[in-house]
Amino acid sequence: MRDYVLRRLVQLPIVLLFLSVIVFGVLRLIPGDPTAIRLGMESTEEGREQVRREMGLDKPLVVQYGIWLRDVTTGDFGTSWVSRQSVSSLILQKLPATVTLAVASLTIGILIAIPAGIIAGAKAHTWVDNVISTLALGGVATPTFWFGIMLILVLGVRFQWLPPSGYVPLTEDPVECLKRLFMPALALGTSLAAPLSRFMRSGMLDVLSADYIRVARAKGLRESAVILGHAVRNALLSVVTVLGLQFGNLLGGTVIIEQVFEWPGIGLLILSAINQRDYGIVQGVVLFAALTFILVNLLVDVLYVYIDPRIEY
Amino acid sequence: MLRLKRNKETELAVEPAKRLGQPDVPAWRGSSRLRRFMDTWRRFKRSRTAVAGLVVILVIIFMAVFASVIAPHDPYDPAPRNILQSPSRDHLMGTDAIGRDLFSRIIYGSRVSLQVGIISVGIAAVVGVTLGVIAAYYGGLIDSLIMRFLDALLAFPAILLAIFVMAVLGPSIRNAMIAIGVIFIPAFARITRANALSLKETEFVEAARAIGARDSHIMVKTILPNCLSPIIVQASLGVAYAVLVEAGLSFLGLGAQPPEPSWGSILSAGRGLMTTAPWVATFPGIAIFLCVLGFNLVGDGIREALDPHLKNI
Repeated sequence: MRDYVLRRLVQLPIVLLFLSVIVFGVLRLIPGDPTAIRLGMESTEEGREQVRREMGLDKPLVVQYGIWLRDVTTGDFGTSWVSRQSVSSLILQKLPATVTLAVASLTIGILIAIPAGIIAGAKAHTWVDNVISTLALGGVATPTFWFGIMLILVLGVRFQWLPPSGYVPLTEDPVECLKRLFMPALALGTSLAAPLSRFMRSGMLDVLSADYIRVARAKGLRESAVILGHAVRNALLSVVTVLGLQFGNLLGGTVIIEQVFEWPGIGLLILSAINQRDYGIVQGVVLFAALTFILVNLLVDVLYVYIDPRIEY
Repeated sequence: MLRLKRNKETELAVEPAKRLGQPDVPAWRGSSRLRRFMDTWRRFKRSRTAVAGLVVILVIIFMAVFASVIAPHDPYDPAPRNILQSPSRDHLMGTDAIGRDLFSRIIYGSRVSLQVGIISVGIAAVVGVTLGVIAAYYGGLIDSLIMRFLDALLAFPAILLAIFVMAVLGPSIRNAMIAIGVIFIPAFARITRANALSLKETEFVEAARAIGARDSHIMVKTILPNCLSPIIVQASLGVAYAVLVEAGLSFLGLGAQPPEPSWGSILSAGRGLMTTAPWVATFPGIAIFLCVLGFNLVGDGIREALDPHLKNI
């Protein structure tokens, strides 16, 4: 087990190196002159030359990459090409909104998926299971942004129960924040819940056919004790890894949901940066998101080894 | 996992025995392939949901091919007199902000979705399968390099990677195909590699090597045909996800550009019309839902038909 964790840690820098090459390299594919984007239409050759020197574009590509890598490792994710603000500070500024949304969505997703998966698995091939499985199948096929818009249409526009969009920090006005948080978190949460409940169900089915469940039943345990005490705990293990991978969908999903609900987080930051062709921000945010994703998955994998003592790598 | 292995072993054990009974090897090969296909088809037919999914896909393909015949109106033709009409007999799904018939636009939108879905998965399959077979066949340093590079691609949350690529390449349908293709490469490569690794050790590959077949011949003619089934399943489920991602990109304004009718961009236009014309946002969502559901059901159906032991997922 320690070997596995060690191997993951050894592989990590190699993956990170490739990752940095991709993030750095892809940006060089942009057609056109980056200095023209920064200076706008009325740029002189002299001005562009100066900016090129400021941005380090006059140096060889390898040197540019080295400088960039050094900055990144010290927590400097670059600067905006337009406003010249540091990307790290922009991310920190937008992070609370995104984290609020992500945590709420994850909570809703887990609260729906785990019980639904347990019931569907325990009552497999009955009408309850059919209803839950059909809903999950539909949930996987439903575009998050469409579900979000439908929520706005019904709850925000038709019945006017909730404000249709916008963000208020939790620390400023908790009630208003939760009101505005409800719809985007529900839209994103259900999109996470659909695949998660399917994994939970199949995990339950696997566990329920195991010998130790038969033993538990044979010694006369109540069915509820068998399900909750023995089956669920083991079935949850397989869901933990899925949860790590779902974190990626969560990150991608927030970009789209933030656009639907005008939620001013990291997603809106990168979208507005794309519109302004501010590749400094695009690069920084993508790198930040990928690093977070890698670390979360590493954490989940390591955690998994500790939760399940049977696992040996 | 265990079940899957056992199944493969029995399959391998049965095959030489079958071969003994057939004197004419080429004839046996042809008819056996046909028989195996018919077997799979018979099992596929047994699942009502899979057949329903296939019907949905066929309807959408029919819509895409005969769009110009079926569509009652020109999808590009603005009619200033018919702005934002609610659904009626003449306009089954109403009209949009410049009076175009929504039903016709959604019929034409199926072309964009299918085109992006199929071509992007095609790109991913060709690149991914090639990388997977090469990694498995040569092993060692080549394997490590390819797999770490793919790990780095996997380290990006999928939608975010697509957004990143689109941001750099610029918005268009062709670029959306490339971006979505890129995010699927690791999945195809990993599946192919896993299968090719076990095939590499089999006797028929050894036999091919013994008679002096070139590496490329072994990879393409011997290994590849035997790991096709999981690739087909992955492709079908991949198209479903690709349609969803294309809709998402177009919704964000990064995919299809106006006036091209894409389900995602029609939805995006409908977001601003929620109070006046809720149908503009509603119908394209239903179209995306049905299309994704269809490919998911067919993918699940093929998986179950190819491997009857894998019932749980």
